[in-house]
Parts: sequence; structure tokens; C-alpha cells
Amino acid sequence: MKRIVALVLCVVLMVGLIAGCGKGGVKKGDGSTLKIGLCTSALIEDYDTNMFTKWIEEQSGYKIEFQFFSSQSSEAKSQIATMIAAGEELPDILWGVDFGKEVYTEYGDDGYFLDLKEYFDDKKGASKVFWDRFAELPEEDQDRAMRNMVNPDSGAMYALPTLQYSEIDVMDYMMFINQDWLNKLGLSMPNSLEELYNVLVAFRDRDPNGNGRKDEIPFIGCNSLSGHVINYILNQFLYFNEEKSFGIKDGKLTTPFTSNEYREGLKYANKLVNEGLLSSLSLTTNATTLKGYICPTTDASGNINDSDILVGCFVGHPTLVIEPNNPALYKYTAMNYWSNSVITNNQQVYRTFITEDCEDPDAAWNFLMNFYTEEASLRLRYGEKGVDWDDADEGTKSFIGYDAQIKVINQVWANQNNSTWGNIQSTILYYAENEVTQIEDVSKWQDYLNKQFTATHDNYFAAAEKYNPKEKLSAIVLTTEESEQYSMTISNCKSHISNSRTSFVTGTLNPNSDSDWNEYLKKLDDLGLKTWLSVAQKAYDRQNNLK
Amino acid sequence: MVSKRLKSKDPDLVYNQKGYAWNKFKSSWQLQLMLVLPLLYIIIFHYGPMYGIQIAWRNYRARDGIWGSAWVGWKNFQEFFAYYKWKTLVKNTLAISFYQLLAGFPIPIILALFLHVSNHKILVKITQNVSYIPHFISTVIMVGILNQVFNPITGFYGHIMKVLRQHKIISSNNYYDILSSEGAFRHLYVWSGIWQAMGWGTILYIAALAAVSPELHEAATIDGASRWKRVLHVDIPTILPTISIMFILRSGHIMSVGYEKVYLMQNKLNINKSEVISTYVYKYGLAKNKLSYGSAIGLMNSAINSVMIILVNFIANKLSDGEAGLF
Amino acid sequence: MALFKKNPNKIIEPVSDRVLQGFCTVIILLLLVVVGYPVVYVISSSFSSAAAIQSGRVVFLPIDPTLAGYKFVFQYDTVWLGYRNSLFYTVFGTIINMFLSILFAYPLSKSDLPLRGFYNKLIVVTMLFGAGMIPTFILKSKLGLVDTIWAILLSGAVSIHNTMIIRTSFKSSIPKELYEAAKIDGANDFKCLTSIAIPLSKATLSVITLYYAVGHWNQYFTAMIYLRNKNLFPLQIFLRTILTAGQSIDASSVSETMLQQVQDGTQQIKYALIVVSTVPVILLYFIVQKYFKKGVMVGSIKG
Repeated sequence: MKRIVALVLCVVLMVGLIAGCGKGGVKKGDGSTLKIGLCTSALIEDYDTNMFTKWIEEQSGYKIEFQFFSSQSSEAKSQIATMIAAGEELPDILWGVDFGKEVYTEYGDDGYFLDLKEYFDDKKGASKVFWDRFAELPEEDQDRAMRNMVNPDSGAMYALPTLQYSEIDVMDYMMFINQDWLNKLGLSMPNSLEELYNVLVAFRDRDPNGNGRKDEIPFIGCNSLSGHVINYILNQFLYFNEEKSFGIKDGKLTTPFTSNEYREGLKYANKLVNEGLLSSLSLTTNATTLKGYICPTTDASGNINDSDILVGCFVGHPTLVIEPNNPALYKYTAMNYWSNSVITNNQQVYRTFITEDCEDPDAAWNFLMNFYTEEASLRLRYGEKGVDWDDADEGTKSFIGYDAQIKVINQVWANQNNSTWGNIQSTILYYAENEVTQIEDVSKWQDYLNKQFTATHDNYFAAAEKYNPKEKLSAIVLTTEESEQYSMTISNCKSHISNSRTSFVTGTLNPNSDSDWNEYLKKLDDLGLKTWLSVAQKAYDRQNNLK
Repeated sequence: MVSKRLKSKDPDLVYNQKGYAWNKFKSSWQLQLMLVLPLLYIIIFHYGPMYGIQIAWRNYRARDGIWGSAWVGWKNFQEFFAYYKWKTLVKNTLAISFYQLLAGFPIPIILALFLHVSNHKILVKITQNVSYIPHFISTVIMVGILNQVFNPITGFYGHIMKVLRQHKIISSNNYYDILSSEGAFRHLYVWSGIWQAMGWGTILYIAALAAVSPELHEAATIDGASRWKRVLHVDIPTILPTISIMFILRSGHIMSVGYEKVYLMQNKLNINKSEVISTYVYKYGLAKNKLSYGSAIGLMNSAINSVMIILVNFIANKLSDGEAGLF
Repeated sequence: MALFKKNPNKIIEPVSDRVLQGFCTVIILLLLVVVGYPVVYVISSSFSSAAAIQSGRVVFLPIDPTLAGYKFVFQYDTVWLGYRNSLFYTVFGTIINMFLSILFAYPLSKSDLPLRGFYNKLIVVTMLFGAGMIPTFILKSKLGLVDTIWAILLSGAVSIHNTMIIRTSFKSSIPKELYEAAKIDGANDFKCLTSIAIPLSKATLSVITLYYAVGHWNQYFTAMIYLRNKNLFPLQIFLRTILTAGQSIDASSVSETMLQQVQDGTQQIKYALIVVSTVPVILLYFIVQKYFKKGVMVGSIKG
């Protein structure tokens, strides 16, 4: 009898164990301590008493001991380089330190960072949480992430990525035109480059702000990703994604930056700059300064003078380049025509590592898996649940009309706080704030902005669908050896392309002049463009055979 | 300096007699003792790590350590000259450096003289104290202030431009952005640096001027010299050794245009004039952990600095019969 | 004004002197304005609201006056800790500096010092070639200095630059006759140093003390590389973190939106922090500057 009971118990136990393993859930820790190295953020009061620290310690079952590195990642890199050189003990986990692919691969190959492949491969067990999240990424991003995570030479995987889902923040690509001025001058909304040119000339010459001086700035942008006027203009002529450098057609890499369409685009931009229609401030101004150009100072009652408005058209993320609640916004309407390259925000970053000095890598991995839960992400971004944010009320909408997911009680993101770790790259970055947070009361200003956005949102995607090439090129990944051998050639070429583009636009070089253009092409050849192209083609072929 | 002049081997000279050097050394034992601690420091902390210079000729990997890293000879040095813009880097670095030296070196001296000469004690005191403050402003803040002041629309410069536009002195859509102008970069960089350092730089000279013997001044006044004459013939000669030393020391930094301020002031439009050696090393060396490369370039800089400082020291010695040199 | 009252007993100055004085006054006033304005700007900004600073409304006087910036600064424990540490490093670091520099400079100022050429060569080489960050770090690590106060106190304990200035001062402002007189009276080298050289070089020594002290107070890089324990951090580390918050000195793949927001969030505290971290050194200057004015050679040599 006893024997049967014992047997049954054993079976039950085993079944229970197997079932537990099959669930693949994150295992709770045993209270041991893990040392975490991260870059401090100026906005965080105290990491040790931090509410997120407390929460994650409780959730994961581990205690955390911090080691702080400089808030600037270049300095943090120096600090860690010196520690490694002197043989000092690294913390168990490095969280959110931006080494760059070449550097962390080197550290990984040398053994300072552990190869996490076996954890990643354990898809049903140790890393189930991760792969569940991963599966939620769009296909293209999954491809790219896999390519970047796995080292093409050795198959090793050293870094844990963030997984960013948010849809492209279309607001980054909005272009606005001064409707007020259009009305005053009796012009209609431009629908082609030709019409835009004419409108800009009218802005420049016909004094639409009525102050008797021709001080208008017809067209301006800023130098950040979203206000990038030159990319904007070029994309009306060809699909041009600056970060990718190359294009693709029928499996062969192309060089958009040597094409005739590119040259036409430069000619157009050059024409605009030369005739005082596009301000060259666009190449050097940042978003905050652009704000100052677009929005005149309000008087005590919050009104502005029409004659103080200077800008005709601008490109940029409205919440960054327009002063909140400044009535200048109402003068502008979002434009609907332009296609654009879909520069994705979904950049996975690879900044979390487990070091060789970690005594219990299993524990470290378990701990890190806790970051891939939805709640961890929300807490890392929005703060303490119930204090800084909470679930959204039923049926409410977000700023841009989606269903709201959360409501923000206390804005911790860019303010001094003690409920997050402050670092911009958390392990998962969930939805962009304007897509998921419930809006309380919609001010007239926000409402107007909202309307502009919704009017253009769909057209943006339709235009991208129509104009962007069907064949997509994802990032080219070189082997370490290739990188080292060709890095000088590649950086020389890229640098020449970028500098020349600026020169052509500002007029230092003349895109209309065949000799200038040919010299640009020749220099590019001298610097080794063909070599770069062939190396990249080889890498591309190799990547696609991996599939 | 005796030993330099008397190199004859005449055995009757006391300097050549046996044991002279040793005795001299022994009798200076207290002075030698004083030197022990500082020398120890220098040997341990400056010479100790010098073996590390060799990473410029190796391909440093942390795992291999300094001795174990592969030897690559002159490859790191050659890589610099393979950069297609290396001439621009060197040109920009030297241009900024010389500009800084020639414009920035005399100014604290001149200011110190004026402050010293002036009778308005209260004004002098206030000005002095205020003028030291910019020295403490960190680079990051300094560039921030620069960007704010020279903003073509909302800054001080912008307001002046507005007035000029209103009075039709310049065309009405002239928003010339001085911060992105190639031509203006060096001027902005150097003069903002002078602004920051000139007050603080007067301290040493004022101290030296205060140490000028009052008797010399008395004697000069009795001889009928005006204050201005006294400046020329008493004040300046007395601080000449200090001036000379400072100049020699400064010239030893001719290749060292620090990266931080330039990096913060760089943008797409002025890059041709604003890319210097240190920013290049920072961007391509440190960012990719290419410590060997950075080290090689650093050594080349040091070599040029050395040549400069030795040259200037030599000239200073020649001009002053060995008095004004550093060594 | 009292400055311009005519003293009937004064010797009438030659015209050139008056012109000179006039010129001086103009230059000095110009200097005052040129350096004074931005200083006033920084102080005013520290008392203005963040919004006013952002929109560029602060021109000269504070706009929307507020003490919020200072309140923020002082509620951080890290600030007080940083203050305490910086003070410690500055005081003890400077003592070590001056001790070693004076001991170094004095013998070198004697032109008949045996082995002088050798010492000079030794020094010159250190001026020209530095070993670099990694080898220096390895050495200090082997000596067990990393993450201790000694990493800071012993870094740059002897600045050749400053030592050379002291040496020049000893050499050129103290005549040999004084030493000879003292030697005849039976003084040894140590006594010469302490009774003659140091008192007569008070001006230069105070300046160098100030240089070292300010160097310690402002230094950032050494602390950044060698310290991990936040209880040892000087104020500059905290200052730097705030000042560069969100400013991508390194390119980052994060959206510009976020960087901008973080930058804006630190606006309020920036200027207050600058003022707070600059004031102590300025106070130090006030303490030290009285030594500049004393005449030096009064009555020391006859004839």
C-alpha cells in the first residue's frame, strides 16, 4: 500500500514538475544579490530606495546592488575599458550601456561578456518570456533583430535587446504650411513641388505677415531626425533612407546617392536655398530653437501679433517645435501631399550584458527576464502603478484617437523622480505616450493638433505604401573582420556623401554644374565606393542565404 | 652654469680635481633630500606607466594585456594618414592653436598692467573679482550661453540683426546664422575662450607686478619718469621672466586643442573648419574602442608639442642669455 | 565722488599720467561689462523660472523670480555629499600639492645644484610624453588606489607647470646675496627655504595655491575614471550629470523627443547648481588675494 502511494506521489510530483517546466514561466529568485552596473540619470533621486527597484526586487526575488557609471555613455565606456584593462571585477549585469556593436562583440569574443546563446535557444524554458514578446514584433523587425543579435561569424549572442513596438510616430514627419498666409495671398494648398515653389516665392515676396518688411522665412526645418528637411525633399524624388545608404533592386544593391533622381532632388533643394526660400538654418538649428522661430512671444494675455509670425512652412514633430499653447499653431495646417521614407523608430538596441564575473548566470538571466513583462515596461517608463499612473478608464481615447491604455497621474518621465531608473532604454519600450495615454481635458490647442494629425495620418501611410519601393532592404551586417578591414573606407565614403549633400544644398557645390557633380562621383570612387558596395553585396547575399 | 663654460681639462682647476663633484654633491645633501619625495612621485606615477606607450605600435586587446597584444608596427600611425581628410584636421588644429596663442596670450598681460596701474581701487577690485567668474563656467554651459547669445532670432545677436534689418542696413530677410558659418567658427571659438580665461589669467601677472620692488619705482619717479614710462621700464621688465615661462609652457600645448568645446560647437555647416584632431580621435577612436589608434595619434601630437616647446625655449634662451628659458 | 576730489597737497601729475589713467578706466569698465553681463545672466537665470529661461525671455534681470532651482539643489543628499567630498579633496589635495611643489622647486632654483641638468631632463620628458589613460590606471590599480581617496589626492600631486612657475619666482625674485648672508649666519638649506624663500614668494605661492585649489575643485575626469563608490564622488560629477542630461554628446538611437524632454526637465536646476558650485572657490579667492598686495622686498637688502 505504502509503495503504491509513494509511486503515485512520485508520478504526481513528476507530472507537476514537467508541467511547471512546460509553463516556462520566469522562476522566482532565492533572495541572492545581483550586482548591476548602469549609467546614472540626473533625474533619479536615489536608486537604492527607488520604487522601481523595490518592485523589481520583489517581483524577481533577487536583491540588487548597484554600481554606477557615468551618465554619458562614452565616459561609461572609458570607465569599463579601464576596469577591464586592470583586471577589476565587473558587475554581474551591465544594464543599458551603449558600447556599439563592434566593441561589445570584441568584449564578447574575448570572454568578458557571456555568450547567451544557450539561454536564447531554450525557447520553451528560460527565455520563453522573451520570445513571446519577440513574436509580437512585425516580421521585418524580427528579421533585422535576429540578424543583429546573432554574430555572423560565431553564432554567439552577447547582448539582450530592447524590443520596441511603437508604431512609427507619424508626428515626426508632419509638414505644416501657414494657412493664414495662403488665404491672405489667395493661394491654394500646394499639391506638387512646382506649386510649393510658387507658394514659397509668394511668401518671400508678398509680405504676408503685413509688417511692411520682407522678413518672412518661407520654409524651415531643424537638424533632428524628425525635422530633417533635406531628407524630406529628397524623398519626393526617390526613396532615400540616409541610415541605410544603399537601396535594393532585384536582389542587387543600388547606390541612390549617385543617381540622377538624387541629383534632381539636390537641385531642387539648392534652388530653394539659393533663392532664400529654404532657410539654411534648417541644417543647424535644433528643435528648441526652431520653436523660438515659429512661435512669437505671447503677451500677458497669451495673444500674439500676426505681424510677428515669420515662418511659412516647417517640418517637425509638433510637440517639439511648437510652444505648447502658443496660438501660432492655429495659423498652420498640416500638409497632405508628401510621401516619405518610412524611417522606422523600431530600433532595437543592444545594451544589456551578463559579464564573466557573474557567479550565477542562471540567476542573472532569470532576473533580466522580468524586464520583458508588460508591467515592468510600463513601470519603467511611467513610474509606480497607482501613484504615477494607472489603468485607463473605460472607453477613453488617447491623444491621437486610439483607445487609451493607461492614464498618467504624475508625469515622471522628464522630471526629478524616484520611481523609475531614468534610463531611456528600458528592456521593452511600450507604446509611445501620445498613443496610449488617456487625455484628461482636451484644450483647444491639443484638439487642433489632434485634428491636424488625424487628417494626415492615413494619407501618410497611403503615400508611403504608394511611393516606397516594394523590395525592402534591412540593415546589412558585416562580420567583425570585414568591419575592421573596411571601416575606414566606409566611414570615408559616408562622410563624403554627407558632407557633399550639405555642400550641394547650401550652394558651396553646384548640383547643376556637371563638373561639380562628376567630381563628387569621382572622389567617391577614389575613396573606395566600389569596394564598399561589393563587401555589402556579399554580406547581403550571405544574410539571405541564412534565411 | 659653471660646468658648461669651463670644459678644459686643466688639472689645476679645482673643478677637475678628483672628488670635486662628489664633494659638491655631498654638501648639497639637504637640497637633494628635498627632492626625494617629489622625484619619487614623478618616477612612480609618470615614468611607471610609460611602458604603456607601446600600445601605439600594437593592436591593443584587453584580454591580451599590453604585452600580449599583437605587434603591428607603424600601422596605427599610417591609418591616420589614410584618412582622406587628415590634412584638414591638422590645418584646423594648428590654425586654432596659433590663433589662440597669438590673440589670447597678450591679453591677460595687458589687462593686468591696466589693473595694476589704475588708481581707482574700488573699480579695480570689483572688476577683478567679477572677471574671475567666467573661468569657472564649465564648457558645456559656455557653449550653451554662446548658442543662446548668437541665436539669429531670439538671441542678443538676433536682436541686433533685427535692428539692422529695420533700419535697412542689411536686407530684410537676412538671418545670417553666425553659429553655422565656417568663417566665423574660429573667431567664435577663440574669442569665447579668451573671454573665459582673460580675467583669471591676470592673477599671476598681477601677483608678479605687486612683487616689483617699490624702491625701483621710487628711483624712477625721482628721475622724472611718468607712470607710463615706469610701466615700460620697471613693470614690464620685472615680469618678463614670468611672461617668458608662461609663453614657453603654452607653446608646449600647440597640438592640444581639447575636444569637448569644439565637439559641442560643431555642426554640419562648419565641419570643414571645426573638425580637429581631438574630435576625430574622440569620434573614431574612443567610440570604437580603438585605444591603440588614439594612442598613436596622441604620441604624434606629443612629438610635435615637444618640438615646439624645445624650439621656443631655445629661442628664449638665445634672446636672454640663458635667463628666460625654462630649461 | 571721493575718487575725483582734488587733494591740494598732491604733486601735480604730468598730463601723460592723467591720460593713462583715463585710458585705464575706460578699458577696465569695458572689461567689467564684457565679463559682467553673462555672469549676471547666469545668476539671474538661477532665480528665474524654467519656462522663462527656455523661451529666452531672461535677458538681464530674473523673470518669474523663484527659488525653485535652489530648493531642488539643496534637497538632494548627493549635493551635500559632493560638497563635503570636494572640500576634502581641495584642502588636502592642495596641501600635498604645495608641499611637494615647493620641495621640488626650491632646489631647482639654485643654479649650482649638482645633477641639475639630469633633473631638468627628467622633468622635460614627463612634460612631453604621457603614458595614457589605460597604463596609468593599471598602475594605480596595482597599487590599490582605485576607488579610494588616494586616487584623487595622488593624481597630479605634482604639476610640472605650477612647479616651474614657483621655481622661476624663487630664482628671479630672491637675490643670491640673501642666501649668502643667511649661510654666513649659520642657516642650512631647510632654514633658507622656510625663512627666506617662502616668505618672500608669498604672492606667487598664493597664486599657485589658488591654481591647485581650483584645479581640485573643478576636476572631473580623474574622479570619473577612478571612483565607483558614490560616497566618494566630488560635486563635479553630479554637476556634470545634470548639465549634460539629455544632451546627446554621443549619438543615440533614442527619439529626439525623449532627449529634448529630459533636457528640458533639468533646466530649472542647471543654473542654480552652477552658482552653488562656483561660490566656494570664489570665496577662497577672497581669502587668498590679500597676499597679492603685500610689498615684498622692503628693507631686506641694504644698498
